[in-house]
Amino acid sequence: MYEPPLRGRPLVGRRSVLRLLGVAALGVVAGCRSGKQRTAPTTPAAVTTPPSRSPQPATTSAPPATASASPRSTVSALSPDQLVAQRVAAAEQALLAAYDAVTVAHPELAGRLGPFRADHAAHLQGLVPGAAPSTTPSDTAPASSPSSGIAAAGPPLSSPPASTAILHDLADLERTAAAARLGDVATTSGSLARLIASIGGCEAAHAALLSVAT
Amino acid sequence: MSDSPVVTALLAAAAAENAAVYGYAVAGARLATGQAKNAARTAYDAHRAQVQTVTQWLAGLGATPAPAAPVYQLPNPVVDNPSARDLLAAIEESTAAAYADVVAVASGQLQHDAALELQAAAIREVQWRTTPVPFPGLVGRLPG
Repeated sequence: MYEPPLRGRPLVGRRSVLRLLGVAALGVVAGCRSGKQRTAPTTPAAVTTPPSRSPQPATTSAPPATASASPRSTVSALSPDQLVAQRVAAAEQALLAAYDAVTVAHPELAGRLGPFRADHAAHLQGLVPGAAPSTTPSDTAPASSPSSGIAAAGPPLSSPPASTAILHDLADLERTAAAARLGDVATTSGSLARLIASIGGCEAAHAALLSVAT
Repeated sequence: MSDSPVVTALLAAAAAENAAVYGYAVAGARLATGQAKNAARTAYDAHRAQVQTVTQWLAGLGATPAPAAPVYQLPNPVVDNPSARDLLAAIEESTAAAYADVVAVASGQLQHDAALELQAAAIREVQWRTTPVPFPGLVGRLPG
């Protein structure tokens, strides 16, 4: 299912990075649409992230703790709010995948980008309680494929131009995401609207921080 | 006559913007670098402009915000660069929170504009913190 985007080629140049990000993001989004929500095991992130104000349970596969009195089965139609929450959650998954892809290709950026990635994981939790990122930084490498050596085969240390281009690309992704949240908010109200607007604020701020960093 | 939820939220936003203007006036002088002072001046102007904008939004709903207070109580004394940045970050978080409340009850263009202002506040907030904030405008607020 996962096709190595850049077989045998070093990761240089913005075009390549964009392709990498795009492939990773599309893969995740497609995965989200392809079937039932996975009930993922509890992760450290799920325990430690403090979504300050989470919306009403927005998923049909919510854990028992959040089950409401409503006798909805797992195959009932999603409410409009749930649809929006799922859509934003898919976008957050895609952003997580982008950070993971960058971290695999440029491990030297992992520490710097860690807080940004953690924010998106928290967003996902806030939107879909019980959900877990489908990937983590450590298992994102194209699993056991020959291309798992991409990072090692690349330039031995961070080449400044490559890092700059990557941070620039991530800033663009965050900026685009923040703009998309404005549209997502429009179809919601109440605590979900508040949550999505806050997520958009975080993404706009991410874009600013990443732009300064470059 | 009780105000509508939108008017109530906008009145709070106007109050937050007035407090922000005051806060920037107090803290701006304590910032360490010219770059930070310039950023603070830009933010000060933005908050002053937002006071006018929110006032216009309220006027459209037949309401008038309370005038700015002459003095505001600060959470902590501003004595140096770090405390100035702390205050400004807190001010932006309060501003973001006020717009988050508008987003929750408004619709259409007003809701969109409030969400955009939340983003602007979030950007300014991390400018002072220099680290990301996962949920700007919701910090310290419990689910409910």
